[in-house]
Amino acid sequence: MIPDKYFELMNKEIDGTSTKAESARLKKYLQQHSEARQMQKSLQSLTQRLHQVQLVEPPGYLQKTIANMVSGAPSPTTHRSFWNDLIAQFTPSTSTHKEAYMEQTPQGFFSGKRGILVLSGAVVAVIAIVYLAGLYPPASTENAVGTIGGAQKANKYYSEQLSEKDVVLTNTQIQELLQNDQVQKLLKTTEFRKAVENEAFRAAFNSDAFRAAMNSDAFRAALNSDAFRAAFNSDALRAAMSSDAFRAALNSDALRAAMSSDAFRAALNSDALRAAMSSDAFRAALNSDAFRAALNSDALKAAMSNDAFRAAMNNDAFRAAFNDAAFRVALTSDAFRAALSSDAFRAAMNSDAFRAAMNSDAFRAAMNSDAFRAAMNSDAFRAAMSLDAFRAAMNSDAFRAALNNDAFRAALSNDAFRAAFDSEALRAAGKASD
Amino acid sequence: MNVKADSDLVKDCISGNKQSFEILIERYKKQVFNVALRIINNYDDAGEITQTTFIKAFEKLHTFDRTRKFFSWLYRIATNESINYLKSRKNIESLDENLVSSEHNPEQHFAESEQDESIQQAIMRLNPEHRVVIVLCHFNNLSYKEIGTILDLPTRTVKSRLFSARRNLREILTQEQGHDPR
Repeated sequence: MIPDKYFELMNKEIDGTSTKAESARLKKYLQQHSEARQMQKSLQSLTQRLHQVQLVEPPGYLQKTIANMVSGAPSPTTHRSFWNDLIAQFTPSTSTHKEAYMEQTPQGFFSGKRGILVLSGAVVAVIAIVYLAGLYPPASTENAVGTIGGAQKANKYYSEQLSEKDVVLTNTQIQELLQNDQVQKLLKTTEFRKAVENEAFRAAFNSDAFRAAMNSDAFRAALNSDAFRAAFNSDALRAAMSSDAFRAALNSDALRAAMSSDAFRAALNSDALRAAMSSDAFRAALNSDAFRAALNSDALKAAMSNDAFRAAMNNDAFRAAFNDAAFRVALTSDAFRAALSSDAFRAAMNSDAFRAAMNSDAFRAAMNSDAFRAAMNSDAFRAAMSLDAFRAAMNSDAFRAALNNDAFRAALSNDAFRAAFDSEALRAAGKASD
Repeated sequence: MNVKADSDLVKDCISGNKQSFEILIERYKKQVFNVALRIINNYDDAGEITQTTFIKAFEKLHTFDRTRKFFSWLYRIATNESINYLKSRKNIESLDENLVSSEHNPEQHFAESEQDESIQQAIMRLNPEHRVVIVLCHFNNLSYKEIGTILDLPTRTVKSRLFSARRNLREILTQEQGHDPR
């Protein structure tokens, strides 16, 4: 058994922090004890191995994601963090401002081991809304038309405390928000409280676009739906919320209207759609009027609630298509959207061949032609799409080039020509070519 | 090219230049990510902890004492976030075999050499207090004093904790490999 004092000397020697006298003492001890020499070698080997462990590369998206979140967050000098302030108001603690990170960060805002945040839902709702509306911290107490009381004082993080005088309502719009049942209901839900623990979500809440969105009935209704709230807790949705493109999209009436539809909200609950939302291509698409208008169509919303379509959304090629102007224009056509609501078309979307075709310029250009869209809307064409042979053909350059040809597209609008796609002969040809 | 000191970047950032903070992210994201990764052993969640760390640092930047080292402050946030993560997953009391195997999910496990992986698995069997000092000392090459600043512990306690951690780690590796880790 090696005495603790010599074990300590061994460690100090390895770390290069021992004095000359300590080194000499250790050397003498090691000369006399083989067990100690063995231990010393073993420790040296261990620390060497530890130092040789390579740093792992962080995910490539990290820099951009954090930078996006920071760019959307209020400046550290001009705007205090509402959420941390909120904790402060309800946290009975004697620690000082400077000690904020000298302690462990709280596990949750409304619960936790220390049991520090036992909040009334109503108080949280009221204060949150005041902040969301950009009124906290208040610029001035002049023109006050109402106050909120009940906030308890505490001394953490900040010397300035929230008081009745501080939380001031300055316009009727805010009062309406405060009185809105949906908003109050939302802020009392578990999912919402859980979501606010996430930085990306809070950064989103701190953005002007999100606060503006909060003012729309459609968005508030969406926020209040079970499906949407459940979606709050997905990383993908929160990542989407932290992107400028998504937040800008929130400002569009079309997207907010889409969000208030049951189909869209149900879709939000699917991993595939949420994964799509976290892709740059999808978020860029959200920023286009055409795509947002499409989102508002019953056909696309219905499509979104379809597993095959959502699975397709999870595919890079399909999402890349969203980024293409021609595809987005196609999405605004009734014919294309009607096609989206057919099982055959959605099944086709799920095939690699079709998605590869979607990614080609020729196919997307073809999508923009009325003849092709009309063809897509025909049962015969859609039935053909569900054929492997046809989808394989779609994947060929020659077929896609043909799609770009007016004569071929005109032919596509011909019943007889389309019926041919669905013929036994074509199927046989497809099988023969396999 | 002149490399700006951390304290100058913090100052710029407080003056409203958010791009300065991006330089700090670039400078420390890998180290912060690895602190989290080595403590929690989950690649995706380590990414999330890294995000949280930088966002919290940004939000609290005006409270940062610029006479101190920025990275110590950052590592402190990362360490606390990682420990909170472990607590939230109720891992602190039961870092047993089951935990190690459940966290060792090959699908989400980060790519590293066999040797690095065996070290990581052994580290995961240490209690979090020991794990943190090993990570800060050996993966981030911090001194006893710097670790003390980050963990708010006297240097003496850091040393004692580190030496015990090494003893335990050596024992774990010996048990796993059936021989001394030499």
